[in-house]
Amino acid sequence: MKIISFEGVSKIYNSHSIALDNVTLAIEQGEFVSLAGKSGAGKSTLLKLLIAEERPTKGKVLFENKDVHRLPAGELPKLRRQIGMVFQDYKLLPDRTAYENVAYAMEVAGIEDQYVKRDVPQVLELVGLSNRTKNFPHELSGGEKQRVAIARALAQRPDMIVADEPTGNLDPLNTFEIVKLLLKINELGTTVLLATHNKEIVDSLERRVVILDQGKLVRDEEKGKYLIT
Amino acid sequence: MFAAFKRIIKSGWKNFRRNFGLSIAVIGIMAVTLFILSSLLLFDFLTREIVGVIRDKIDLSIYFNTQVAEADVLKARDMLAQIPDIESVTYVSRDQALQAFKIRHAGNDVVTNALEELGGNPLQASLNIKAKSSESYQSIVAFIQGAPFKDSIAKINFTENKTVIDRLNAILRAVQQAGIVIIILFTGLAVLVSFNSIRLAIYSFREEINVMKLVGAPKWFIRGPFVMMGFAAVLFASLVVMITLWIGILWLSPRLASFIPEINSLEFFKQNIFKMFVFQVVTGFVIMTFSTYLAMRKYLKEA
Repeated sequence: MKIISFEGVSKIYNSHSIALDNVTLAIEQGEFVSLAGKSGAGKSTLLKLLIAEERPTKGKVLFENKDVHRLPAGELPKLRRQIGMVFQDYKLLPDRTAYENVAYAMEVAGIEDQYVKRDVPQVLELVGLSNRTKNFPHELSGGEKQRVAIARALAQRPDMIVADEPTGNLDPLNTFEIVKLLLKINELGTTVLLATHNKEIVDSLERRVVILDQGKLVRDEEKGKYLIT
Repeated sequence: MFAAFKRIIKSGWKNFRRNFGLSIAVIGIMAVTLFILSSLLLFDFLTREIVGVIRDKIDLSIYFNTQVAEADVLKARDMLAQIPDIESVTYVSRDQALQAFKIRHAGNDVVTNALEELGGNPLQASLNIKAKSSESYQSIVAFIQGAPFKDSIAKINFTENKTVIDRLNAILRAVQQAGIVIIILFTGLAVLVSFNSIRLAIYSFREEINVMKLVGAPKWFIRGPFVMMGFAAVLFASLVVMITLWIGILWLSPRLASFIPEINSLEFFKQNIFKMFVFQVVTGFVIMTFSTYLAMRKYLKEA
């Protein structure tokens, strides 16, 4: 079953800046897909269109068969709770602890306190942060911050995790820890879309690879490698 | 719904404590705004009271010749009491005037001896008139000067004070008009300053607001804690203002009373302390919520 479809999607800022050019792409439920490409290839734009942070100039973006840009305004938060986003710059709330950042994601969904208290420690344990629950983001390392961000995305029990360069600010050791964590999440049944320009990561995963170059989809291979011809 | 409300309150209070520096700045701005508004209201009250007291002191007395019979004076009183502009007419008989004179000068041998030497009662009967408005005295005087009892009148004391009263009327009118202009001007300025400060405070949270949106928080859930933060700031600001006003009134009250003993500003403050506090909290909350709503609209509007 398709979870996402991009149907002939273009994003044109002006005649000199075409971020996406007629991209068609579908992702099945439970897949792990790497979205690779150089900086400026259009990876982040594609993800922004998916969570309706931006609107396409042309084409349609469907999530679970619903056009995300035709959703009523009140439905947008719900869509974003169904897609757990992980960002390169973590996007944590700076004046909340690791526990509170994760709990916030559940609170916005209206989940009752008793479940929040039960689930947040479990998710933080899953990402290996049981001992950092009371720390604020500025007291955590880059890798730890990214784990909190992943825990936050997981806490909402999303249908899909979308990670936009999640290892961009991390050292190699933390990079592979985060990738391992995303693989584990995928094994538990959640679809993962990982946008990265890191060739090593893409090649090591041996999963489906979609490559963007100058806004165009140039490759889409099962168990692919990061190759640009 | 109740759980969400509880979360908003908790979250707002947490934000308030954890962003203490910013909270203090907002409290400061709000306190200045509320202090200006409250002071203007107090100023307005005091001006009205002072105007009232001064107006109360203005009256018009008609003195009748000593040979005029009491019945004629009473007839004149009844006639005057019919005039709509007149609030009250008090009759002071010759005997009452003498009595009051003696009491006023008791212990003053010179005055007592002079009175004895004159023999009898040299004082005149009078009618003391209070008009509903200080501006009506002129027309009342005109009426008296044309009244059937005009020949019985020895003296009208208002005519002597006419210039002073006219001048006083002009000053009182100017003070009240200036008061309204000052209130409008300062209220506008205070609201503008606090609106811009709140906009700056919200600007410093724009990244957090964006994160909240990306995590899937509904708009009301994002806005709520900021409104709560504002409410906490307004409560503290109101407390600060009430304490400052209390100290100010303690200092001002005896000084004002030495000029105008009829005005007890401390008593007024004590009697209205709760109302003033509620006024400040409600006004502050309205300004804060309106400013927060407008300031956040921009960041919440963006997808």
